[in-house]
Amino acid sequence: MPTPASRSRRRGSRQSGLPPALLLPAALGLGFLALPLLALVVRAPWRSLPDILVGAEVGPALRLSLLSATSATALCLALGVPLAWVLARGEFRGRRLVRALVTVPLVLPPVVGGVALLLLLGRRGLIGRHLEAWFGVSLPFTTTAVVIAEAFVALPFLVLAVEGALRGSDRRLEDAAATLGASRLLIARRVTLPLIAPGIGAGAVLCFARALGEFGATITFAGSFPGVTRTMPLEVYLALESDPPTAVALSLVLLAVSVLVLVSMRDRWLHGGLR
Amino acid sequence: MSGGDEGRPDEGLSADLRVDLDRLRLRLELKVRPGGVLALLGPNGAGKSTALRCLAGLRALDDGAISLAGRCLDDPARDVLVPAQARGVGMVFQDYLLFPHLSAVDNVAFGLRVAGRNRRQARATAHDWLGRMGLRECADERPGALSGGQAQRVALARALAPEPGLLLLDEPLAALDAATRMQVRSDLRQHLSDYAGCTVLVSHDPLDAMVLADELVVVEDGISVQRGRASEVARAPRTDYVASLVGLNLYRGHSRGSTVELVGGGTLTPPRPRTGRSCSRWRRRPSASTGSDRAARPATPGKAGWSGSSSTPRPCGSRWRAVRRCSRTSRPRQSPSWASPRGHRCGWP
Repeated sequence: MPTPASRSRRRGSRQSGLPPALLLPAALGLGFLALPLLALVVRAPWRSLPDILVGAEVGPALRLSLLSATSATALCLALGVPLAWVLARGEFRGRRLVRALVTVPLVLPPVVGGVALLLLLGRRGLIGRHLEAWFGVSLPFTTTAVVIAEAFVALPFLVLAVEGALRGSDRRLEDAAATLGASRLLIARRVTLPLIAPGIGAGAVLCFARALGEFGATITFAGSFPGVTRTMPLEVYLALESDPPTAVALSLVLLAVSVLVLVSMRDRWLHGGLR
Repeated sequence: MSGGDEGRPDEGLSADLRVDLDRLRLRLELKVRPGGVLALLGPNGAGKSTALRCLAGLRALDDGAISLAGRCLDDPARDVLVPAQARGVGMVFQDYLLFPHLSAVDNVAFGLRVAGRNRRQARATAHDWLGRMGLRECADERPGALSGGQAQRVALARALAPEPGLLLLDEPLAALDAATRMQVRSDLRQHLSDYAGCTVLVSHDPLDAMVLADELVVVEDGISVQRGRASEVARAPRTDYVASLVGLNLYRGHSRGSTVELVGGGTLTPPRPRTGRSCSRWRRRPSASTGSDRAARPATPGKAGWSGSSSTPRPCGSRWRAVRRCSRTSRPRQSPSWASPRGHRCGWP
């Protein structure tokens, strides 16, 4: 077991082993990521900010965004945790294919996702046609459509996070619970779920952040109707043409939410839960 | 099989374990009477843990059968397989596998809660168990805050609390440091003797196995190579592995009436003349040789091995004298007298 002294010595040697040639591109990379955010903060209309934030457009957009992102996260949790479970624990042919399918929305341009949703759930879509005919339900251009679009884009984040947590959890603990008489469902509920709770939490936070920022799939599938489907990112984009200060103010709000998300993730890291 | 009182077949554990793994064919018959402690002793990869997992129901048999107290738990031929959660088997895992999100008392209460007891009753019983283990003050600690010895006792309490008919211990002391190990070992011995059900434990440490168990089954490559009481196994190891395990060296030779010619050269005179078997195995305490290679020993005239359970022969005039040592093996029933290959007589002082 390394003593604290030896550990710090090792850490010291690791630091001194850093090639100086890396430092410049590393600093550039950091600046590349941080400077735009700095510009946003610097150029923000701080004086008029309170007025803008209570203005007519911002309130509904912010409320809609929070509502739809929260609903999308809930939907992702309800569908994603079981899916992750099957991926992590199931032994069946085609599991790799299933995982690939789950990962597709992660790399797919969101606009394409929106088009795909439209072709499935739109009025003339594969399923949407029947929804319209049988139930009189039309999904596109409703708040439900916003939730669906956001969930479509965010679900892979949750599934991958939870699957990772499940793979990282010690299955022998489940064996131990089984020898104590617990049924599979009880083991899942009383042992596995509490053990992977930090992973689920981290996945949910990532999922929420992704849903909150969703733009492409939302505008394609749900359109941009004020108060119904016009979420914050859409509002920012539209305001940038007509009313730049509002756009900047809204961007600041989204940045603040992102920072909050990061901080909450950091708390999980501090508890050693996120792997 | 030795060990004697195995009880009636409908009592205790009776298992015929047959499992085919990639690298191992497990063929192991075990019988444990209620209250008995059986140790599976063997090198890593011998199939001990697989055997334990089969008994626990965490792995199905490929063939054979397991029955506990007359109840069939696994019998592929009859298509019977009782899952782990319905077996009433308690298991202590090598690294204990306490639930990290539950306090010690909730860990112990887990099996009771699962069995349908309400939270208050389960916790009260769990507190009793922790008290019995001397851990009353640790009840609310999370497993991460417990020392190795404490965690081991919590794991034991957790396994015993639902009152299983069979207790399985997988290397129960392997994760402990030497200082705590001795204490925990004797505590464990105490708890096992209080326990009315059958116990099967797995160990690669002969001392643990001999202290804790009534009967040893030495497992090599999936089969039992020797079984019997600890003292019997130690006194008459049948394979090289067992011999090295119990601190004896093993020599093979051919019996020629009253002498035995060793395979590597030299002869031995056994305490009793042996006839009938063409091959005898001879053992000698390695402590008798000072730093020399035991394989080279039999080939060195005048220094070849000798038999006797616990002796350190020394030259004594023209004779060799074997000094009885206090060790974990017991003394032979009769005082043997034998000769070193040079013809020196040896005897008990």
